[in-house]
Amino acid sequence: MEKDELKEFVLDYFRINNAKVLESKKQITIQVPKRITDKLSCEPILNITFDKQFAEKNENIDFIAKGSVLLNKIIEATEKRGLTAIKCYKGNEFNGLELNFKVLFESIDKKETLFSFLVDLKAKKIDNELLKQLRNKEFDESNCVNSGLSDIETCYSICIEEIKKLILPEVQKIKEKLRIALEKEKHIIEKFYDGIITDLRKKQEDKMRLWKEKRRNAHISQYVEVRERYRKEADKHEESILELQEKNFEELNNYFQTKQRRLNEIENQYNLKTKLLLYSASLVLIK
Amino acid sequence: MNNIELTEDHKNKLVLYNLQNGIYDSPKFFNLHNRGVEIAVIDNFDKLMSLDNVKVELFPHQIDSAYTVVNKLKLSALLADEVGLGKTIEAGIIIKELLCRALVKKILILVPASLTTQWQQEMKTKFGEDFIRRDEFSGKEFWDRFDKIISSIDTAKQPENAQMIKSIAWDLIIIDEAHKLKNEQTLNFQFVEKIPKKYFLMLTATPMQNNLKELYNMFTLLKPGLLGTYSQFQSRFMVDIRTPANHEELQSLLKEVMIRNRRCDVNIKFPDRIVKNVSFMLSKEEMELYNDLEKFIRAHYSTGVMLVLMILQRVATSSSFAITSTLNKMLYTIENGVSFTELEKQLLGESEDGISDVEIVKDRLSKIKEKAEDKLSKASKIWDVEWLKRLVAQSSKIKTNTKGEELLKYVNTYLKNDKILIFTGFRKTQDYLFKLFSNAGYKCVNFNGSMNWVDKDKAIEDFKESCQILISTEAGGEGRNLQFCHVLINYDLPWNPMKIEQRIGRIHRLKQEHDVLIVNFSSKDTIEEYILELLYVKIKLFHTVIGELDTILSNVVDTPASFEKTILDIVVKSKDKLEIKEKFEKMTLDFEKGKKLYEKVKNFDGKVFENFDLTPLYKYGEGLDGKR
Repeated sequence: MEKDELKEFVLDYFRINNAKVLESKKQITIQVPKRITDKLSCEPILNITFDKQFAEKNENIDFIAKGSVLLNKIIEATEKRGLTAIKCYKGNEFNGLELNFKVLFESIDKKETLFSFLVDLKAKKIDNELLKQLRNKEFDESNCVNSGLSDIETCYSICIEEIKKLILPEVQKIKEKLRIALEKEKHIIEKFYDGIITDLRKKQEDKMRLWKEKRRNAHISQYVEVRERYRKEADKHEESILELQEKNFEELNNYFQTKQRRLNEIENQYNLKTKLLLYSASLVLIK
Repeated sequence: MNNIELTEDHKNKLVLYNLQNGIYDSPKFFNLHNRGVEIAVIDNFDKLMSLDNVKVELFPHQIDSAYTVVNKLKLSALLADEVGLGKTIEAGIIIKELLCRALVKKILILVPASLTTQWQQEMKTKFGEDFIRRDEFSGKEFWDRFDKIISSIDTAKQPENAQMIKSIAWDLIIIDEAHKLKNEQTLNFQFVEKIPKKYFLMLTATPMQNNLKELYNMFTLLKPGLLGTYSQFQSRFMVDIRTPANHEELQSLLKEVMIRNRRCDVNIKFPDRIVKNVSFMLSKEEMELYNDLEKFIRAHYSTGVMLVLMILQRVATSSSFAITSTLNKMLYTIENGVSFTELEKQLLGESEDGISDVEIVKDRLSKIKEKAEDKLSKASKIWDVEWLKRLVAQSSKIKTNTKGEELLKYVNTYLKNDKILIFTGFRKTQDYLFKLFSNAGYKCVNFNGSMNWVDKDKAIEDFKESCQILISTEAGGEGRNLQFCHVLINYDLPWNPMKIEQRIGRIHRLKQEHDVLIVNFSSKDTIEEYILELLYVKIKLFHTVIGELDTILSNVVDTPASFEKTILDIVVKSKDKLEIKEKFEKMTLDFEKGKKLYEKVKNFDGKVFENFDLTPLYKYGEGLDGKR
């Protein structure tokens, strides 16, 4: 999106909403009607610019660019109007439906693609060649007859099938990329927690081995005092093994819970969600 | 694979309903709507959308870091740039980028208590993002109610808060000073580990504080399993607890989550700071007034109205005009039954100095409110009214202020043709200085918190274009870049070193073309002199690298508020000036220790990472095809 297009969009928004727009070189002053200040939660007088360097030198002037707060609010406001319209053109008779879609691919990243279709209402076929031809053509609002339409669902379904076809390669590509990344992540997590559990088990086994050794010594020594000492030590050790076992079970439980939580989080992050938004549609009449 | 699941938006039905029922809007709104959608579309990450909306000049390494984090590191990363290279800015770009792309909604930034306000201000002034601090609102529902939150980690981990935080699915968690999570046994570590999060950023200049176990813990918190279990890590990557092994393999693993820009990599040079301290003797009358004020403060210390006393102690070294005004306000409250809270509000509005920090005020107010309200009806019993009246009479008599005259003399002698930024903590002093310098033929302009943004912008513009001197209260220390000037005079010295750093930061910036001259004024035998001599001259805090001060300070005190309270305590609880000096000496030692600790960590960290290349993997604008 070029800077000029962005500027025209913003200024058109204000002009269409009866705001007074005064352009003086790089600074634009806008007198915003109350109805719009409420909507945008902005001041009644806006000083804006589309020139970054100019904005840097003038801190009281709002710089408007993709992602800026005011622009986002304007876009949000425009989305509430103009969902549907009638567009009439002069030419060979044609009745059609223009449907505009946004497809959102969302996982750990996010990407959006726009699709527009013109469906011939008689033939129930997509005619995007005609849509291209009409793009820059002037249309006449006054001659349009305001009427409702039937069989819209069919046109809508035709478009959805077409979208599915069009996005299939992209979806496959993204899914494959995500699958590889997810496997790698899952492998790291599985290996990590398995390693921890192995460490815990090893610690316990080492302690058990030592205990067995002390027990054996307690049996084999020929001296009563030595046997007694080893027996006491072994008893004490047995207590500490029980303690360790208890601790290990608790830790094991925690690790399993954490591992499962991590795996769920990651699976959720790498799961591709494809969403479809029909953001606008128009009845196209050519007479 | 061929079966694509498309979740249909609920809005689709509305559009279809409109068509079926002949509900049409004007084509001009229809076109506008379509153009809006086209503008807002998010196509890929090759271009960072947020850059145009950042209100601060960015350096290539900051952009490269943010670009690498969002593209390669899958938004779980440790930003470990050396001090002063702008980790907060990098985090800010990432936040802004994710917000622009609507990838995040719920963001929680956990920082040391001393940095909550600073983060909030930076997010607002540099990125236009409004974050709410936990201490601004109470109640359990806070965490659910707001989407962009900053909290101290100590507050967040308190059971009632921790429970709420752990029940929310956060889109982004940011931890500043992440080296504090080096020990897996601590509550902090365990708390952060259990917070559900989609993206996770950790920031620290010194990931290696004492040993490799700490590094292991931090990375395991960030990405469990990346470095294996600790026993695996030990056998693969440790010669001993302080020496890494398998250098290349370790580097490649660290590079998966860590970015570290070093000064030598980014080739950034800050202008030098030249510091001059000017001290002078107060006149006999001024010194008497100062001593009497100190006595008054000591006598009233036990009343618990700390904030008022602190302001009084601060104003005692500013100007007789500010002193008179403050005392009169105190008298007024007694005579008219105005509440303490109101008095504090008025005094803070008047002072705008270092202690007008919102955080401190709220903290103080909440703690003393009950006590103060209780005493409201007995206000005349708290203050010795006759004593106050005597002080007012004493200060009103002083028409010539030595400090102001000394300042004028200094400017006349050394800075006659320079653009000068003068900071004072008090509006009455500001007015006095304005008159003093204007009468001496200097073109001056004032800047303070009572002005609206139009007037503030005009004042800055006037200073830039036509005035020689800008006299500013603390309001000028926030967010405004004044690098076209390179002389700063601290007429009053804030007690909080971070406030001084913020003042200096207005002109001592990366794009400053000259060395910066900082002149500090202090009257001999007053608290100002002790603070300047002991903390700044001996510890050389003016010369620490940008960004180091907050780390050193956090090694010494919990919050700036407690630092200021300590200073007041020293003054009022000491029997005489000798004891004050001794206590300041002790404080100096604490600072020296804090600084040494910081140096030690910095050296160790530097040594371990010396041979690691952890610069960002990608260069912005060169695409994602070739790694560095």
